[in-house]
Amino acid sequence: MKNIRSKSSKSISKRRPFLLVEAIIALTIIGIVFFFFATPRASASFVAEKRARLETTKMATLALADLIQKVEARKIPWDTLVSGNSLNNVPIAQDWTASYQFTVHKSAPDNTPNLLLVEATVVLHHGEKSMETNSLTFCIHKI
Amino acid sequence: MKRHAFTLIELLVSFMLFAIVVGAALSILFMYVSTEKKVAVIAEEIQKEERAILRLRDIFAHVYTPSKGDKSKNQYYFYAEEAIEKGARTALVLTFECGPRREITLAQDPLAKLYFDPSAHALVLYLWPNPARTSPKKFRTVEEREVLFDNVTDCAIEFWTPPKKDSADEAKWVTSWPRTNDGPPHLVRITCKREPPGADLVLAFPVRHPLTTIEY
Repeated sequence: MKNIRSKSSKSISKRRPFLLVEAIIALTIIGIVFFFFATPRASASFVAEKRARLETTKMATLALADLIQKVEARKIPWDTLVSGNSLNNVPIAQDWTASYQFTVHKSAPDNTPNLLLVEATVVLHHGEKSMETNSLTFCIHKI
Repeated sequence: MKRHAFTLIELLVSFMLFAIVVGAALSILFMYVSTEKKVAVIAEEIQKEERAILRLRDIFAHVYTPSKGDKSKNQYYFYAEEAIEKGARTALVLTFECGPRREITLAQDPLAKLYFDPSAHALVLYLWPNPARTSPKKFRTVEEREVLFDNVTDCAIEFWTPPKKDSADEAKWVTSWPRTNDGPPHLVRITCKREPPGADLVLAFPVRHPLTTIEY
């Protein structure tokens, strides 16, 4: 009879479920570890993302101004503009370059030859990232 | 089965473990709260700077540019003056079309002054109603002073306009734009030296101009 009792008590102790206290302690430890590792990383990536967006906004203003300077001072050859080519690797700031992609939207009417409407799209490059930021539309006329 | 009570050693060890776990949990909680506060402050600063850039871009994109023969031309301004206030450097005064935006309290086509305030170490935007365009009966006189960028130690505002065709002169950035100039420039560049070193700010904005044809 004793043997039967001892066997049954052993099998019950083997299958014993977690106590509430044990579960709470385990969850607390998991929570602490999670916060310890997750919080600073999440904050750092959040701030880095915001900073990157701000930097892109700043560079976009400089790139657009550079494009306007080049277009209005006629620094971009006529053929580049009308053939839909791009102007690549234009330095904007340290580690930042821009490329300007030209698209002719309106062909010249018969009575105004060589009058074209061109759209320039500004694409910023920073490391391996490329971002399309602005576009500028202007008319060019070859006399 | 005989059950014995906890010994003193067991109690001490369990208290110590409990204290360590609770202490670690609290310190991490405090660290989390302080990190969150710091992140919120930094995020707010970044957002404020971005808002300021977009605001300047918006204002320059709506600068009033008089057309030829415009009789109300003398009601609009775009000029930069040296030392307009004691101790201040270049200040830019301009009129812009506010349209149905928040400047509606300032009535039609308000005046804006962009200047470096050395006492506040800030680049400031000051808005007030254009007396030539505002009827005092219709609109309250409201003035707004807004700090755009903080921690500024020095600031320069420059202007660019394209050279005429076949002109031998290269287009240059200039630091003054007198009232006698015919209309606003095509580009405005703002350079702010800021603290800490390395946080300098260079921005350039196109000024609104009607679509003109560029002749080759």
